[in-house]
Amino acid sequence: MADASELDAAIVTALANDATLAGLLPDGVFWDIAPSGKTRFAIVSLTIHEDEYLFEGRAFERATYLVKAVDQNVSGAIVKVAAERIEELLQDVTLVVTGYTHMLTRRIERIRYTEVDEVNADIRWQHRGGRYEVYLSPEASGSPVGSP
Amino acid sequence: MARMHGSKGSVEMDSAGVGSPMAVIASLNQWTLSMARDRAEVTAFGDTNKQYVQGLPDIKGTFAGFYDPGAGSPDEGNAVLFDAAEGTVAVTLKLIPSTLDPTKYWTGLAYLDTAIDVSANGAVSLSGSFVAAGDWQRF
Repeated sequence: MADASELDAAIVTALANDATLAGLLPDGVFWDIAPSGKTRFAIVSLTIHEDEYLFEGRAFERATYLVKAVDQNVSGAIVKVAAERIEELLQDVTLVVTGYTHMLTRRIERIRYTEVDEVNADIRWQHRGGRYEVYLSPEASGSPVGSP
Repeated sequence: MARMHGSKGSVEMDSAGVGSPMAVIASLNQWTLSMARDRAEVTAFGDTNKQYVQGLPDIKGTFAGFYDPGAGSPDEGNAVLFDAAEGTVAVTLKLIPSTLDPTKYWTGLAYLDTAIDVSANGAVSLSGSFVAAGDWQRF
């Protein structure tokens, strides 16, 4: 049975393996939460994952991810370029996901905001990126899901 | 008596209209069947309420799902629906409410109509309808 976690990993891998993005966000790409002490990184989070069914099983899966660049900075210049690079890496790009045929990845919302640091009110965190929608079709869509 | 969920429904078709072999139509997720009967009013003087006599059932229905042209699909897709709709031969349909009890179904000859819906905001879907082209049976 296709494992949707493979999609999570595919997105993180696609971003983490990009040298250009690594140069902009040297602390790396993290799932949900960056480790303490990191100041310039990307975050990938699952917002929602919905399934569409056929009589024979699952037709396709539709997942929405929050993907953003985060930078401890008063300027948004770095996250601006990083968000553009994230979009280049995901928008209409085919992802290779074990157990699935990739149908579509596209941005459905843009994200941009500034956060005040919880510990030091003089510190600013810049967030920029988007919510990305991914459509996948399980490769064994003609087979029953679970027990009949 | 157990109620059923529609998740295990199925539509099978024999394109030649001879009833065998039947093949599952892939990537469908809905079917309906109407067996509405004609009724003629025969109300007469002295009746206390309207009265009717009824005629034969008008067998017709619909189906819907996602367009699956079959490339790379293990079950040949559902392009056969378009072949049937464009052809002149009535097909045999077998409509199963749940494959958990495959002995319960409706079957008969049918003429098909099909439609395809393509949107930038979703999967390519298909839909269609059918009318009886011969006697139908319920099992």
